[in-house]
Amino acid sequence: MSFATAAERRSRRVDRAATLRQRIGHLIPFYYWAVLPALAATLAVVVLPLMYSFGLSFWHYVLTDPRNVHFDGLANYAHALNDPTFRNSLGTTFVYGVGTVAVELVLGMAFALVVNTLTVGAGLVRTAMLVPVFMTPAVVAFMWRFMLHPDLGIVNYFLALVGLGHPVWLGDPRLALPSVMAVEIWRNTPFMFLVFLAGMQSLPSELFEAAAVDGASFWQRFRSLTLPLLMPLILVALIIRGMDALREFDTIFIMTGGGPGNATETIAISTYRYSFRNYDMGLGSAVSYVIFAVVFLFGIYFVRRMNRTRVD
Amino acid sequence: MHPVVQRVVVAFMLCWALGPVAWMALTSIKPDTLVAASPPVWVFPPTLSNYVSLLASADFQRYLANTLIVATVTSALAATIGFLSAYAFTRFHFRGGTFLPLFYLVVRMVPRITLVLPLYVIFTQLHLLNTRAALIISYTTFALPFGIWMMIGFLKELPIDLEEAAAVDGCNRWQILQKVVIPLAAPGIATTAIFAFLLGWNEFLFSLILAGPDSRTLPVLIASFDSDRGLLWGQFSAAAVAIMLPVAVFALILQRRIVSGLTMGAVKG
Repeated sequence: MSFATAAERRSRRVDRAATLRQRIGHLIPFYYWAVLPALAATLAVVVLPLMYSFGLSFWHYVLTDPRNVHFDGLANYAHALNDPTFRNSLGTTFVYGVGTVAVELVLGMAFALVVNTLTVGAGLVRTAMLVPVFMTPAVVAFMWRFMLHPDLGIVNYFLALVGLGHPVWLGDPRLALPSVMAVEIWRNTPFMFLVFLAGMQSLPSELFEAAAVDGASFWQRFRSLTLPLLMPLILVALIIRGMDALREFDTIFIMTGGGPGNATETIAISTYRYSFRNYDMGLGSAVSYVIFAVVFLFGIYFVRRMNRTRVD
Repeated sequence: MHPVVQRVVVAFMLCWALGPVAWMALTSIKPDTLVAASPPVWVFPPTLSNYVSLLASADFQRYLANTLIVATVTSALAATIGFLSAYAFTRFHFRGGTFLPLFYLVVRMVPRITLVLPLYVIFTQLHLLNTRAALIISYTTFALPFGIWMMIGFLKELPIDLEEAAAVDGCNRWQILQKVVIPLAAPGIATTAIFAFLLGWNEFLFSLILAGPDSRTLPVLIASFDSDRGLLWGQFSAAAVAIMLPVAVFALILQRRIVSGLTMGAVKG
């Protein structure tokens, strides 16, 4: 009877590790290894936190008061829904989302219709319109805050030239919401434009030539050819922009922080205020679930509509 | 359409897109005394002093380094991980292979503000608050749904015959990937990498909440300028121009694929 030398033991261990690897390799085929990292990251960073905050939303949990953590049932949801500020922010979110997306849709479509008829310069306009879409949102927000400054901003300088006075854009409760909406529209109309232009350029031109020969006016061609053919694309653009507008945070946070008062406070800003100003994690979770629900229902609704249009 | 209408609309669009940016660039090279002048000064001796003081500021240097590290690592990770998933989805039939892409579409819908709160609590408990790792992990995951869909669209278009031929010639799986698939899919991988880089470069909310002095990125620095004291506008404008430079370069590179990118492949650009 002899003892294995250290070298033999090591090589045996290496052999066993190799067989184990091989066995797992056969047990778990390549494609599962390939999808694993993305799935693991998504579970850890999206799914798990979502479940955690869903749980949190039923607890009384204030970070500054760690001794008093207890199950609270639906108290956080009840608190939010009874809070006039929060109900107000639901309305603001709705106005902000619907208003910006509607204007972006119409303007983007109009821009695309015009640029689509250009024989020269379409490339230049397209490139220029990439700028607002890709600019850092924080920079966009700050830049506009600087240009909308009541006394020193360039916007009021031009307004004063034509005698329109000195509106305090972000300080006046009636003007603040339209102002932040205008910035959102400035940033995202080019997105709609780029998507619609790409769509129009991919439509078969024979169809339009035939319609023109038959004497259809520009407006008639738009109504009965462009619009129906682009409908799936319009829905995609609406889904993407709508979901982003409903949860927009950066622009409003930097421009007004939800103020003055709570004139520009959307649900996303409310969530921030409850969680990171008041450190109420339970209430913050409950409110953030409301945004999640709104965005999710909106997304599902449009995806279903889109599938129906495709079938037609 | 009437050429006058065309010209007016095109001029309007160019002002729309470039006017504010041009005004900011102009402000960034103004001498301090003229930055907040009213009426605005259009002609002045240009100066680079705003850029000089910006580049010399320790805060800017640190935040720039953070941003570069976070955005670059996010970009590399998202492109690699996303590519592997997309490759598996387009080349193999397996359980979950049709469900998972739809799952990622739903993940794309989750608002970041809903995630930042639980992640704040989780990262605090893991002692990852105020680390670049926390930002990189989060951003990579946010970039994945887009990247996976982008590359699924791309890989579907590639002829599988080439891969089969390589397999017949005796290449193993990694050789096929390395010599056939990756070179052919390079434009798709690059698009994903650029979009992920821009996500890491532009993101504000997570950097504001999960990061501290050691990991904060440039958008948070921008937001910390005090806009009500006109004096800082010159510096802000210089910082804004500096942040926008890489974005502008990448947007130009991406031009051709940008629309299919923005819509996660729903539209061929």
